[in-house]
Amino acid sequence: MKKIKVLERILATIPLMLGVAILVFVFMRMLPGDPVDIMMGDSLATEAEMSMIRESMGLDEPFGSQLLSFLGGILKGDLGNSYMFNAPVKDVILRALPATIELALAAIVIALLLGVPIGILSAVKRNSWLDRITMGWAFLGISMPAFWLGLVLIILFGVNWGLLPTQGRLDHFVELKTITGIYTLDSILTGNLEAFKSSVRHLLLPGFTLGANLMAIVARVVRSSMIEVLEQDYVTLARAKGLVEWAVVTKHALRNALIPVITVVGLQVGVLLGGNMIVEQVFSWPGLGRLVVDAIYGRDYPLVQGAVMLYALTFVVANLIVDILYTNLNPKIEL
Amino acid sequence: MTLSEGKEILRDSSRLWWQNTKDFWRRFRKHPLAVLGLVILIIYILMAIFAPFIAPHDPNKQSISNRLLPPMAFEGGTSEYPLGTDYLGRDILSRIIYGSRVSLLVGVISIAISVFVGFVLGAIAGYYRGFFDTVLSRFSELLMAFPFLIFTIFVMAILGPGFWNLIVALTFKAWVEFFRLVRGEIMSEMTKEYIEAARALGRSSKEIITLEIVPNIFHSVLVLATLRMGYMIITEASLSFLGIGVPPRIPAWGTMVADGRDYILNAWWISTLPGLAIVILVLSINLFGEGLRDVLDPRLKKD
Amino acid sequence: MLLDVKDLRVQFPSSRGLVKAVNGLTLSANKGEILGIVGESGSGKSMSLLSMLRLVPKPGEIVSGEINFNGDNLLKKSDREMRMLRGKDISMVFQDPMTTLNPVFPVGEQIREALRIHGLIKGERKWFFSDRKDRERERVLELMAEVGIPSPDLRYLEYPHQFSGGMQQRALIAIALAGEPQLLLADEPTTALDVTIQAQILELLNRINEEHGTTIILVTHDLGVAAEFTHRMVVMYAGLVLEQGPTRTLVEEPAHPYTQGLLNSIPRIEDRRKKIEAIPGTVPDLINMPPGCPFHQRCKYAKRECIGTELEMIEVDKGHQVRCILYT
Repeated sequence: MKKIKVLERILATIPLMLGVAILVFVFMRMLPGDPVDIMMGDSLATEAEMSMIRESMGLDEPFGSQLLSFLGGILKGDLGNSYMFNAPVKDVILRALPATIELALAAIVIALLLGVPIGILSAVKRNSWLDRITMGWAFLGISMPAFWLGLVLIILFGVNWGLLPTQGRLDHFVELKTITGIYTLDSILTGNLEAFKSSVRHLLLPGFTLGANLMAIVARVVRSSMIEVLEQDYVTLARAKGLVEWAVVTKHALRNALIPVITVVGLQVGVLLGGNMIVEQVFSWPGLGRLVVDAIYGRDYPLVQGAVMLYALTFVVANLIVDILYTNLNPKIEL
Repeated sequence: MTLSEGKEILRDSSRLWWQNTKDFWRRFRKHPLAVLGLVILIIYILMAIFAPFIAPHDPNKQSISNRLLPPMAFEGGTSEYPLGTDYLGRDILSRIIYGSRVSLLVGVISIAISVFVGFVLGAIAGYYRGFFDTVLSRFSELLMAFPFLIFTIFVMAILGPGFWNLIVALTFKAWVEFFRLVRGEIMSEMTKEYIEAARALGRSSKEIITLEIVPNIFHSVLVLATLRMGYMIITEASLSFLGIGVPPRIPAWGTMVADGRDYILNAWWISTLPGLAIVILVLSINLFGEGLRDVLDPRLKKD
Repeated sequence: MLLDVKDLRVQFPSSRGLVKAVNGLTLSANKGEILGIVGESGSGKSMSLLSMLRLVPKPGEIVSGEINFNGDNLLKKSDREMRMLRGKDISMVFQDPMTTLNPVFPVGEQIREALRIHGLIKGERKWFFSDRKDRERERVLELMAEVGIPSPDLRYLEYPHQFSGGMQQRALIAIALAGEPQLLLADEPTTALDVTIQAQILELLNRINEEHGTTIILVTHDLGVAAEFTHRMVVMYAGLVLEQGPTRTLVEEPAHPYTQGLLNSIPRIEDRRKKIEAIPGTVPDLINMPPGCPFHQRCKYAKRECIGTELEMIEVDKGHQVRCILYT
């Protein structure tokens, strides 16, 4: 039964993504001015050349058939050409994607690795000074813009203490053969310890900056749901069985307390994707977010359009995964 | 109904209102941090309103001889520029004071529009259901497929920088959350008995919505609006930081942080102080919002 | 004597003051008997049971007294020693089976955990792997069968929500039995269940008592249940024992006005003409307890001396004691 329901969920995202594509297309058509004008920018093209380009792009066709060929292109993986790079949007995006994925994963790992234990500790030592301090920090974490936190970290760790690198993904003197484009993974695959250390060091500040918000939210949710769970009868039963307290907390309580956390993480993926643009900008991280910002400055609309659709797709898929995880963690729910 | 009866009802209801307000304050006061948040928020609002009277300098006045002065507590700083100056010699304190106008205006206006649109559409969709509801719900799901900041950046990329463009970009997606809240609440309120009773008494549907349902869901909407306002302000600052928010000539905190980025090696204050202003404002709004939630709508506590 | 509780006091700080949940409880349980603790809700029965496992929820704490189990004072044991006892020598069955099984683990695994914690089943090494897990599983299936869960091998991997209330309670009894405890604490084990299921569960407890000789302390607010299934009975009120004695004696010749009141409030089929009388009033505030007999405000025989006189238990018959001024 569950498998069929999961399949239904997956199929339901198809019309949603179709809607997303149409919405993006409609928005792009609302751009003030002629796309060819914008595309040509300051170059001195003749009117005849312009109309030729217009024709080659299908801009003289009616709106409906333009939309259809746009959607058809997407299905074939054709997102148009980037003006800035003079290359297919798909290739430009794929080149920048590994860096973004690496950063996002680092942020999620950091957020969970710090947020979950902080939340548990705060719940177990409720109302202690430890609880107050960590929850104060968590509250600060959700009130802090990522670009500011990033700059403060750069000033402290980079400029003042000189502890960590603040720009880019790798020290310039380190060489690395790329396979996946995810440097930490590549360095492990090639057995390059120096590159591994360098890429992890480069990941720490941007990863923490991007994950700070999520970490704060995770810590708060884990705490409140843990407090609720610790008062449940099944926790008392686990103690009455003679289980040691840490096992009571990490096995019986945590598994239940994590169920709402999954949902919250799913909702926060959106914030993470948006934050990725900011953080990549602050730390000169050569990923998709930075690319999009550059594309906006450079009025490279096909690239902006492709990236926005990819972000939406990621968000939708992330929420789908969360739904499925949620079902698997909580035996009571049958989707 | 005689005139005196009417007066009595009016007096009773105003007494009830007063009673509720007093009751609210009594409970709200028990959250010292929320009160602190409110106080700071009021200070910010006063700062924004009276900016020309408080600011020691013209926020846009450049003074080449006073470039990159540190805050007065640090070596080389003067009391004339308490928080130092930026790379054009503009007074940071004055710019922060003026910058509060952008942040607060954007936060308040975009939330107000989102609440209004979401409330009206949500009420209609939740009450009448049908085709209108289906179309709006599908559309709201579509908008929910975009991460908030990404969507706003996308809209701003198309519209270009500008105060009202920013408001449009922010509200374009923000109303959805209020729409869904109001729609859901109305649909659940509709199943309750007092609505049946009101119908049986011959009340029109407009009366039922405005007199019976709205007061019941007002608290939830108010709490959500407060909690979302901080996020709106952060988003505005992020867009301004990227250079696609308010036009550069208007002093805005996000722009100021971006301006100072090139100088963090020797003039950390240009970036960090305006950012601190954002943090404190958003923190106080969130503290106030959480207190409000505890008092008004404990149900919302489950994030 | 298996369990001997002396002058146990449990208190909870609250915003209004100290809540005296258990206020000088003294009772004992003999090996092999079923002892009933009877009282209205709020009389401190559940808290007394949790104290015997030293699991009083925070911020409550045991402030004084002795709980002697096999002659050792449990309150003097280290946390580790206490843990070794829980689930092995002393087990507990809780009130609401719906909330007591952990919703995210299969029922069979939750029973197996009770075996594993105390290493009750030893495995043998075969090649590199121990067969302990399989043996534990075998034992779990035995336990499930013993408590009356049909087709245990099919239900082993089912989750709690797939069990009915009665089956959940049986599973919880299986967990409690896993350690072959000397003492089984049952806190209102049938309150959350349907009437027909109640009798089955109580029969099961009775059978366990007879077959294994397990001492059972059955806490209930239902005097009828206690009358039918216990050997001896303790009547608790406001954290204090008011009367104790053999069940038959207490039912036939209740000495304390409170016990009499409880008995009169049970509807009886065989005696329809008799009027059912509810005891007027409610349990007193556990924070501002009046000195003297805690029941005097609701007692129809109350005299002026009841207020302010702290009474000891008075032996009215062999093994039958009562705390009431009428018997001084």
